Amino acid sequence: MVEIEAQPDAAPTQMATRGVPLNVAGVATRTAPTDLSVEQPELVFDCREIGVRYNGVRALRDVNLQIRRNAVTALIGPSGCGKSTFLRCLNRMNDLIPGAEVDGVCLYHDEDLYGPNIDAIEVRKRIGMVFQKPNPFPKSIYDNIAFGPRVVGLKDHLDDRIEEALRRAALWDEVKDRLKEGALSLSGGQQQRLCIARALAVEPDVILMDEPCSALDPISTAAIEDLMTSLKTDYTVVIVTHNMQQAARVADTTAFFSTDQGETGTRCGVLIEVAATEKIFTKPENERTEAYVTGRFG
Amino acid sequence: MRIGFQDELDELCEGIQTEGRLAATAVAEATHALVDWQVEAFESTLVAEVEVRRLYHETETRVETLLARQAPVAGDLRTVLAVLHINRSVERAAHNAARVAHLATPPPRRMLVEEAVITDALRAMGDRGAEMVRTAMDTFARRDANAALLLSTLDELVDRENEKIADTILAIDINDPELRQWAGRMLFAARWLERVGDHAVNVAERTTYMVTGEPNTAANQDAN
Repeated sequence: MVEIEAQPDAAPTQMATRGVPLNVAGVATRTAPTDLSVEQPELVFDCREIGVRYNGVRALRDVNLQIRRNAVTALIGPSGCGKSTFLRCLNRMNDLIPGAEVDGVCLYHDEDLYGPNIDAIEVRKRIGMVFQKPNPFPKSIYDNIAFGPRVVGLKDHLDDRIEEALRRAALWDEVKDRLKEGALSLSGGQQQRLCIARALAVEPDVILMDEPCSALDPISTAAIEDLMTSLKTDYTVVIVTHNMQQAARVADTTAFFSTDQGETGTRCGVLIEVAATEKIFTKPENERTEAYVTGRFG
Repeated sequence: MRIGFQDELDELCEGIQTEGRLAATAVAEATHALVDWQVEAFESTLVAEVEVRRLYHETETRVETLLARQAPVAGDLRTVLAVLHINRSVERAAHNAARVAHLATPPPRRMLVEEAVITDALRAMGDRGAEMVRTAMDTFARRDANAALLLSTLDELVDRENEKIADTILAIDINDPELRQWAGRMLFAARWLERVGDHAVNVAERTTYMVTGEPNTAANQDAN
């Protein structure tokens, strides 16, 4: 079991390219795949026996899940099943929650995300996150996107970087003539795409989305879903959603979480089944998955 | 638990059972009309076929509404898709029964041995076809994954009777125009009854798909 602590003395590295080591020392621990005949996309996360406790109470246990490159992976399940908790394990956001402990091994490009030399700040730069409610800063559209690159020292060609991020987030055409206007003047859907652009501006490898459409109308939701599909060409996307039709529409792989009785008798999140999305929604292996996706449970 | 959705799903399955029972009745009555020249049986066939056609459209509308409003997935989706296909098979079976009934005509007097062979075989095909439709619908109601195997075995018996009719007709002196006309009508009737068996097999194959999720690529896709 590894108790999570922020590592204030670990200086952020300047590495912005995907696939390079996360350890501060910069030691190349990742090996390139040698078997080119393997059809499966490269493994980005290899989670083994991941569990989380909050103040000693187990919230999640024994999650074994592999997440592959250039795919959208959806985490679904009833409230309290630990899917958001698991998502936060993927970029060490649980570090910021007092009393949170993570056990198990979370390999990111074969590197232990919770290893002693890993810089949590670098992790969160490489593995960006978009939240349920759009949370733009009360600044201009331009400054919202520029914020991340400025903080991590990516100050060269900032205008180009901002345009690229906005284009990738399918927002450029809507805001290119008003970049100096306040971000809060944008609609909810535009604000969420702005937050995605903000995450993209620091050149992440993975984008985590925690119910990114739950506060949006159907049109904005469709725009974000289209965006997820286009983003997976360059990024790996992991999304938590309560909207099963959304998972069915956008995800390549779907993981269903539910709850079981924990060690102390309390309910605890577990991963029930993970499979190709079309299998989960047409012929799931597990009866609990079937009961959940058909709306008979949860 | 989606109670409203479950009710709609149950109603859909009950509706297709009613349709199946009527189709089986239509096949039995059509056979009776064909070989016994019973006007009442002919009329019963047509009444049943009209009702099946009405239910066919009703089921199709229900499926459309259910897909649009409830977005079923997994086992529920397979059930809805199975009903959609079974609906078509049942409607076709009833339609073929009506075609058979329309072919009813007494044989020419000079037919002796051949007439008995052909009418016995047609009766056997019709009775078996009606029984197959009932059995297929029962297996759907019981969600019997092994239904296709049983129905395929029964279908072979129907096919054999069909071949017997064809062989008998080919051996008849076909120069007699009256005889030729009757034989031709019986040959068509045998063809439609043979298709009833195929539709019952389709129902069973869709039932197997509904239960197991394994698509049956050998499903008989003939539109008749």
